[in-house]
Amino acid sequence: MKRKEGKHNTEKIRIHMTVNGRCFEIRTEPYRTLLEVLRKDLLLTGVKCGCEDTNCGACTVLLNGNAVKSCSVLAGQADGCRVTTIEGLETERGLHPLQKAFMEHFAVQCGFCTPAMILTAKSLLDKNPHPSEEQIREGLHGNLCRCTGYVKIVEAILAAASGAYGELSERNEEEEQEGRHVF
Amino acid sequence: MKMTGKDYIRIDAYEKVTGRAEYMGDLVHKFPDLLYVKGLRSPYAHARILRLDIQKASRLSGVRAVVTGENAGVDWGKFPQQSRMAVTETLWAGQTVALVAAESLEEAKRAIEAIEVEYEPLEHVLTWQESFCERPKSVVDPKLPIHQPGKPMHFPYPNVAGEFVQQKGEIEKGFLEAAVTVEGEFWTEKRVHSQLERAAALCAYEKDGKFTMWCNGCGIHGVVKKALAAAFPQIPYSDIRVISPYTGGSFGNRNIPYVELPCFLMALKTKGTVFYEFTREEMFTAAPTNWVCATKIKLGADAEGRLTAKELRLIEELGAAAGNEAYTGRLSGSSTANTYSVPNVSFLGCSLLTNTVPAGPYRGLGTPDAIFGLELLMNELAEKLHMSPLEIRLKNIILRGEEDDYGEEITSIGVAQCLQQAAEAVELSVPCVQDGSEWLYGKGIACCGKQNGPNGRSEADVLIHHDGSIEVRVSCDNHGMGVSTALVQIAAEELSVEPKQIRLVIGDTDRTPFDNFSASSSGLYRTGGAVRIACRDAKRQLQEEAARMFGIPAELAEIRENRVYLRGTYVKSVPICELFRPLSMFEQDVWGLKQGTPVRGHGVFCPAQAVPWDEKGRTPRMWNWFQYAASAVEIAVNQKTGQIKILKIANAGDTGSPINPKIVEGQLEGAAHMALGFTVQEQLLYDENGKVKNASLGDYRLPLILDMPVNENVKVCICPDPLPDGPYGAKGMSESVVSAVGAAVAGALYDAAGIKADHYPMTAEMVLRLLEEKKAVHDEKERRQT
Ligand code: FES
Ligand code: FES
Repeated sequence: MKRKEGKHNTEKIRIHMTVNGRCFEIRTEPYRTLLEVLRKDLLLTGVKCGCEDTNCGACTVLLNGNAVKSCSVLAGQADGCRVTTIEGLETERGLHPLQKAFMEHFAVQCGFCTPAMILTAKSLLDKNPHPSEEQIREGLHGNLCRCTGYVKIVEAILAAASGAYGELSERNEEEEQEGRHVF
Repeated sequence: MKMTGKDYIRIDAYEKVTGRAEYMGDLVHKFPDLLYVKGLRSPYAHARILRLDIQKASRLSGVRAVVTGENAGVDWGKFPQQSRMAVTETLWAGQTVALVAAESLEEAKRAIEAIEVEYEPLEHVLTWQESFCERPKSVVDPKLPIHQPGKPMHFPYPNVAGEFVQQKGEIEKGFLEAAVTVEGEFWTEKRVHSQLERAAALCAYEKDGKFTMWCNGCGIHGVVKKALAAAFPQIPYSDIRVISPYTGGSFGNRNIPYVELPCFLMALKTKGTVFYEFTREEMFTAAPTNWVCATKIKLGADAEGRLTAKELRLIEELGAAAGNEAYTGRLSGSSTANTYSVPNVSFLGCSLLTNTVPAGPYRGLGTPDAIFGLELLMNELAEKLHMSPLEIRLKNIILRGEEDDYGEEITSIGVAQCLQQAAEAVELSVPCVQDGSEWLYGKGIACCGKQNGPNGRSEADVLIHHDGSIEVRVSCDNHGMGVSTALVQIAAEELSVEPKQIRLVIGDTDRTPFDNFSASSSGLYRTGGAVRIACRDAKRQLQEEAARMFGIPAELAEIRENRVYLRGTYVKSVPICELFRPLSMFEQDVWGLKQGTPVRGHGVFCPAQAVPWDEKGRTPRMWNWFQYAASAVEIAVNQKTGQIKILKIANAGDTGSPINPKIVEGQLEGAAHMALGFTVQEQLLYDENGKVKNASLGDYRLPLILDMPVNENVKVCICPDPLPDGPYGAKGMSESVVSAVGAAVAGALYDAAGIKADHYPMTAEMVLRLLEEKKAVHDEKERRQT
């Protein structure tokens, strides 16, 4: 990212965030969004940007486990928070069950909405491990997909929730611990 | 080994679910000295530029170039219309008036604000209704070639840009033979593609004076590179390299390099690396839309329900596509010519200009718009003849081997099966039960065909490496439909290996061979054809080499499952990798297959070209093949609010034999969802200056997940009629399946509430108005009776 030195420098704020289990200290202008900081400063380009005005959902990340549109959050608001992006889901033990399910169920086409869909689904399943189809639909209503018609996305989430692609709950505890050791 | 017709996991799925897949915007950080481009856009649909002062903007910090239509030093006539800058006059709100390149996006924005422009607003026309007349308020392009003196025109209106006439049989006779006739006028509205990734291009002026462009535009060779070379003739063709990263959808929108050309221009002006990405608002105001179709149709049928005559007038409204002679109403009209067998046809089409953003291809290329009225009139015929909508359609569809209106033989048509399966999936023959609530229930069905068009050439390279890995190189478009996976499956089948052995290299004009573009759902058909030929070429070479090594004729060597099987010699079979010998510095024997030098197969696939039509607009070769579809719906209409709710949708597609059925299913589902948006809610709205006023995803209502019925009420059926020259019988899959939903919903609306839609989107306001009109007619009748 290229930005002119000068005027804004003195106004920079300091933010601490744990992103995908790693601790970061970031200095940034207060008007910048979490989306900008994640994409441009931390190079987490799995966070997509489709509109910049909170209407597409492609920029969704998890903030302390809750799905938020990162274009609608100022970086400063994430100070002291735990952030998960799509890059944080695959571990050395393999893919997250939702990632596997999205692959196996052909829930991906152009893929631009995919990281956000998976993260939104994750926050949903973390809170409600066995959602009904209606609850899944309700949970995804802020995430636009122009390609798939959502059929296979819903199918994949239901399959992941059924445990067909591995235990979901076990992984959550691990993530919680990761978070704790940083704070 | 069977690798086609199987649900092989998409080859791009892993990269996409992990966020590793790189799209345009993800490349930016790799260029520390990047310059950002921004455009200043006209706020008026039509205005004269009285003064344009860039002095102040040019002096601002970080600004590297400010370009106007005047000082650009290019021939705008060579640019795609959407990327032409205004010089003295703006032709649509959103047209670029100036371009800035600056060291940061903020500085570019500041410079845009510092540009001083004075406009004199002029009269404008925004819709076909305003434009299609003798004296429109605005003449968009006074220099249209069709208006040269001495050229007779069917519609001598100043904004008509092109015409097409077609005649088959004798139309008067056809109507004389008819027992019943129906007629009506129909139209559609403007909508935007709304692919999730915005248009973007990045152009690097390289150290050696060459240019490398990354972009999400279609046709890296045949569209982007060719357009750049044509617009900038001073740059040698081979000095331009175009690379396509992953792209987030197109739906036809990116078939026009409207962001690539200005981006290149700014790289040329600054001798730097520049990035130009449209904002979401610009995707509404400055990127191409669909073209609207207005039709006036009359149909005649005999007492048995066989069509005897079809008279069709069609307007294709193109926006401010000044100087465009290619459009004549023929493209949209083609979709009305390929499904029903009608002995007497009269077609008269035209294209029409307005002061809106120049239109471009949009999934279906006018099919969803052009067939809307035709399909509704089929229902009316059925009603008059006491037949079902399904019956009348089945009675009239063209059979394989018969001709379309053009006189071209149809080689593959699975529409009857599509109709039957779609009808079954919603139990069309079982009437809806009304529950006495404010909701009324109804069902509807429609079908259609979409042409492919035989233009274009695709090439493929197949490299068989000594370690057994196989590389396939192609340049087709890869917007997410799944063509990359299908191509790998085709290569796997041809070479009888596992798909995972194959690596696909796609989208780099310096590395991957020529391909025009994959428009018209032709990616799999054409590039797939080339891959097959390339595989066979590579196999033949391997066979010959192996045969030579073992002293047998090539026919006695057979390649499969990574081995060569030999007959007539002392060895039965050898692994392919063993045919490659190591080559050392001291090696004398340099002939034969050597490690490090793969066997290269090359394939070219190029369907036979179209034959120009005669004076009746007919030709035996025009559209090559057609993909067909039928859609059926069950809906609920709220009498109080006018809301239409889709309860059930069945989308059936004759997409040829599927290479990967799950991927085809995904297209059918996605198309159903997209079409529901077209049908009930998507529409561009304009303010008094002719500027789009719902230019955001918040205001322009795309269908969401909640607008789609639950999974068990979405049925998709693949009904293939194999295409003789398609790879393993495959044809295209993505366009017909989006095209029949509008008419199916309108049919269901009539079934539910007895109201007839003559255009779409069928918004709540429209439904309420129709309900009120119906009530007024009803009340009037009652009043008269009493
Ligand atoms: S980029 Fe944040 S919602 Fe679209
Ligand atoms: S897969 Fe393309 S937007 Fe969802």
